[in-house]
Amino acid sequence: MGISKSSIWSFVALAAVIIGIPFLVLFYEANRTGQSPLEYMQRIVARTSSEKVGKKPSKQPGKHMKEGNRFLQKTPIGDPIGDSKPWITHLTIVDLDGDGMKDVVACDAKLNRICWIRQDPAGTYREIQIGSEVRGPAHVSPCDIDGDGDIDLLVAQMGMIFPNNDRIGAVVVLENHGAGQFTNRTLVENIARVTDVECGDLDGDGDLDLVVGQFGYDDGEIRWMENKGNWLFDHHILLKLSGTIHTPVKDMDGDGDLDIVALVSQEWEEIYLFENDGKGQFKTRLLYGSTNEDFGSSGIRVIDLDLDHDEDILYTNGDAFDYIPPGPRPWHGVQWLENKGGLEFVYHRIGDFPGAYAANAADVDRDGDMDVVAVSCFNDWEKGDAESMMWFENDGHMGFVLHPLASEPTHLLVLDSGDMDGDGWVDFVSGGFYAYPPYDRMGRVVLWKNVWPLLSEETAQDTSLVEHTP
Amino acid sequence: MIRRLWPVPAFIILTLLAILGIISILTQAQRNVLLIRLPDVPRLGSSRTVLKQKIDARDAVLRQCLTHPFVQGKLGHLAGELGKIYQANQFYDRALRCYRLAMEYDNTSPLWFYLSASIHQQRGHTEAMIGFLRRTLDLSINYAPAVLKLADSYFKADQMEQATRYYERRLELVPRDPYALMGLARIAMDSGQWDIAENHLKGAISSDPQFGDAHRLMAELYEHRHRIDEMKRSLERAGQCPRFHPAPDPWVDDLQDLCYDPAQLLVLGSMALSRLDIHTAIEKHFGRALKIDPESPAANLAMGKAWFMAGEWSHARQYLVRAIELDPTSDQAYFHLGLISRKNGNLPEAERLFLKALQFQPDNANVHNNLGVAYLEQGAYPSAIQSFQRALHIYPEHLEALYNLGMAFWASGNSRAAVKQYQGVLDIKPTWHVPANSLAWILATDRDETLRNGEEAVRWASLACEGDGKNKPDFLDTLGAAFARAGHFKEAELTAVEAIALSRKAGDEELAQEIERRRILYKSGRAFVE
Repeated sequence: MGISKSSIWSFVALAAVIIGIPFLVLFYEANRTGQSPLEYMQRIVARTSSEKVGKKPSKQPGKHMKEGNRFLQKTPIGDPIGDSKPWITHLTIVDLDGDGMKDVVACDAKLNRICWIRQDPAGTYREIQIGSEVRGPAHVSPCDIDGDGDIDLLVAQMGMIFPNNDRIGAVVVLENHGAGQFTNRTLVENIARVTDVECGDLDGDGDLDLVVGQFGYDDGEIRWMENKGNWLFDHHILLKLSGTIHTPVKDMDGDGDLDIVALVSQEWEEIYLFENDGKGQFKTRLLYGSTNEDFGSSGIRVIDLDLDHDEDILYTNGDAFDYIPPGPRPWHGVQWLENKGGLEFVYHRIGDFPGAYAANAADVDRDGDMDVVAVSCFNDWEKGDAESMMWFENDGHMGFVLHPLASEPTHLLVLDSGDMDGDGWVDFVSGGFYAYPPYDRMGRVVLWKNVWPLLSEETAQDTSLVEHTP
Repeated sequence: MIRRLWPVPAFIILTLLAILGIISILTQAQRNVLLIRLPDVPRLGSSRTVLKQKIDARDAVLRQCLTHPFVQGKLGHLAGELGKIYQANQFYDRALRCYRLAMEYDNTSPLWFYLSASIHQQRGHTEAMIGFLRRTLDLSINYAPAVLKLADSYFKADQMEQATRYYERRLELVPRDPYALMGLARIAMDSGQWDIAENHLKGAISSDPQFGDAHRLMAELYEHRHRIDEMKRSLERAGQCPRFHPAPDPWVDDLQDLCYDPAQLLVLGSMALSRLDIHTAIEKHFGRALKIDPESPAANLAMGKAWFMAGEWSHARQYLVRAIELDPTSDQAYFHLGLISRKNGNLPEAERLFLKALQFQPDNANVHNNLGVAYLEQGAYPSAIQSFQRALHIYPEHLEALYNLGMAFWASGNSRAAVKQYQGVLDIKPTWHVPANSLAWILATDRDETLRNGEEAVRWASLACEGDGKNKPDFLDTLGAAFARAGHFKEAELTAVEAIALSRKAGDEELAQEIERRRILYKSGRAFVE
């Protein structure tokens, strides 16, 4: 008894139905839910447990994960804290005396002074005050403003760090006379509180002009000061909004002249670009803004983060001065605006970081891409493990893997990076700002020396952060 | 025949069985996939038991729903409801996962799109937000908060044409809306259309005279037109307005009622207090926090502080005492109890409570400052000076402590140090009337004639009498004394008369008589000496 042809066809048809329909449905469902058929199949086969999702890592850890949080060795530098609660509002790494060793210049708003933490000899740091009192110093920038070959310091004087709408701000130059001697010269005073002063030749006339960010409180503004020689300046207002924090000067559109980027916080939460025509005429462009009036913008830094030869904007939001008590918010973090050319900037979130206040980009692990290191001033310090410093490791494709670096000292407001010891590895210097408790893990100015090359794969995992006292 | 046809029914039966099997497998598979797409319930500590119960309940209902086939519409709604509780308690990633399901299975409801937009808004993802807002408006064309949010988002994305379109749409829905008018004004100012901007700003101000930012933009506009007096007036008005607060947004605002996290409720309450919205802080936030966790020292403390701010001291005391019962080291509770005692005139008790607060937190500048005031009011000047100096060591910009230290110097007879102190205060707060008045008084009336300076006294006293200061009899009294010291006796007398009238109007007969005695001096061509 043979099998008829029709029976064979029936079996084939049945097999086609039994196999085909599931496949069709599988492809349909996979497509509908945005998954690959394989992924969908795996999920069907997998035993259902929602907890599994949480366990699935969103990103593979970087190749240096083992060293991750062990490669920075912290050392307090400069004057000891004593019984005060430091208010370091800004710092910058610079070889101020031109001796080939990097120093640190810091704004101490508690003592109302600019401090020079001088490295001499190598590895030894000693702090001295430079110039006379500057009330409420908020920012210091090195700049040879008088063109005499040494580095002067531009200081943004707020007058008062905490909210005040009075016109008590000033732009002060600490004029370098050589041999460590500086004198204060006030370029403009009785203006809304100044938070940033940067220099650059904005009108192409060969001298250095100034860009001044004025936070104010309710009434702030941004101006540029055209250098007319003999310490005289013409003032040009660019924007009249409260809350300006930073006003870096860089060539953002690659046309050979210097443009101005400005971060405006308060209820505005906007980043502006003032596009220069090369002659000091500026066109205002809004690059980014958040409609969350409580976003907490805290700082920007202009840097080529993706190494594509144009300037991007690294941006933190974590300010919480408005709350009593101040504390983190779930949207605080670090992001960057990618320069796509043609003055188009695209927002990318790097990662959440409660209370994020300053971020710095550098190739921390020397793997050829730019990582991001950030500090927090407003994390939940009542929790002993709340991080004050984070490393966002670049995976080489502008994806960032988060590594906690430190939870002590707390309240870190500022951060700068540079190769302090000339070993070819980038180091960091942080500054603490302690306006509210807890005060049990304080650090004024701390050097975070990069000891990556000293760590071997084997020892790295067991090496704790080592505290050194000078 | 039957033998020939058997494959047909067999085929049909097997096909039906296969289809049923496949449906069963797919239903199960779909359920599995949905379960995997649901967020896991977060681990919550014991202080968040109520929140855990609420999340567990909604999560369980949703998972239960998944076991029943053909309930996809309900499934979307339930997922959205779970998302709301996650969002209200700041589990944003989980909320977004729920909303994704809700948008898929309940895609006619604009709420899920809008709430997704609001999370992206908080995180600063303006571009993502725009997509969700557009979808919201496709489903609910007249939801005015979404229109405003979309307009603002386009503005922030520098897409001014779109922003204009949606601000205008908002005005159709909410006529004379100050937020939309201000947005349009900003756009007009950016493009140099000053007349249009002025009209919009006038509209915004007339709609909400307390809109400080509109006054500030108006000041900028006046400055551009060199109308300096009007500019100053606008800035002055702006300074009298409350700080910026966003437009009402019921769909998002209502989420606060789903917040069951006491710590988050305390933050919300603190934000309400910063807007001086004491009632909301007490009723909506601190009250709820206490209901959830009546044994929370932080919630009791927050409630006590809020009632203190409201001037209801007996209510405040009740919560502060409870806070101390629950946490005997609560420096803030002791501090606020001390403030109440001081307000009630019980200075020794205030002093004791401030010292108790310092025992637990020695670095609170506010406590040192208030302890100093308690000492000052009891005549213990050296202790007062020490307390103010300690406050300033901790917080050098503490304006009240800076001023109070001047007062303590003056009260202890060291007018020279007081003058220096007041000048220091005025360097950083030049518009503060109180130290200006105090400085003027010393310069006009001090026994040490080397300190007296009539012209300077008039300058500072005049500053003190600007604005509201001219309605204060003691400030006018100082101005009178300053005029007399500068030799302007006629002005001195006239000012004294004005001060006397104001004192009597305020029911302060004692001060009126004091000023009257000085007026007689001025009339006889003599200045007053303390």
